[in-house]
Amino acid sequence: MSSDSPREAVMAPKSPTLAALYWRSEILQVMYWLRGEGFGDIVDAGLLERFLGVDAAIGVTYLERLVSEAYLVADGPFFALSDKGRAEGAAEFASSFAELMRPTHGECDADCWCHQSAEEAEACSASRHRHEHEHETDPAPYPKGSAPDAR
Amino acid sequence: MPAESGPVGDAGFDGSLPRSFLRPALHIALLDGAWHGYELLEYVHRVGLSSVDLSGIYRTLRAMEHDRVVASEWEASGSGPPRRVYELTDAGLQSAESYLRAVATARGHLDDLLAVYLTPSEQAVGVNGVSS
Repeated sequence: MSSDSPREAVMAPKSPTLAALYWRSEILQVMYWLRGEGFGDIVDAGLLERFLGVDAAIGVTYLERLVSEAYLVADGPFFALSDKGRAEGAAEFASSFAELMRPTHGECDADCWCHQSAEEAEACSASRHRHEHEHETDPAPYPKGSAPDAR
Repeated sequence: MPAESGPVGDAGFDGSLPRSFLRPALHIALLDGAWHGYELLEYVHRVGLSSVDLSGIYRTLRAMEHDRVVASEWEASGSGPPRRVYELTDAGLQSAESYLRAVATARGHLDDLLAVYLTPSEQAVGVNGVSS
């Protein structure tokens, strides 16, 4: 059974270029969704943290980037969708799950962004190697999924 | 904030449902048809998930959509912006039926727990005066 943890944060790509595209899509989608639910289309970094799991300090850098790209307009710490952002938000929501249907090579989880580009695959591989080295001196007591309390 | 809950126990338990009930609750709600996000938020508050906020609904619906148990589409509104409407897929219907059985089992356990101290008539009335 799946957990309710924020998949968005887990799935975020590791290469800076794809990460920026990823968070642009996620931010525009949540803003468009909130607008549809009647909550307007103004967000701040704290809201992004609650909805998307992106650290607020990082999220604000993506918000400012979206302002520079004319998807958002800024008013102090608050950010609103521009006309361009509204159009893009709707389109992103419609296409986001089509992206997840792409074939996978099986080395990582099916959600991993390493399936999206060679650059991301390289970053993902480097990240895995770092993670393995960190745990070489502290091996897990049980194989993955076989711990006594594993569900 | 829990609504109309009883006294808080020594471990902070106030009678609201734990967040692990959110996914089952959303499945069961969607057995009734298509819902919008805010409607689902109001529903989960009514059934005791008082700590859940709109961000929790959004994230859980996204996860359920990713898991192919929920599908969504934009619904045009005459006066306002389009709203996302969610409904169960065939896989979601099967999951919902499993959750219904699991929740019924949980209710049985709670009934057993309460039977030690409460009379049958007391057991039939919930904390908020709602008959079970």
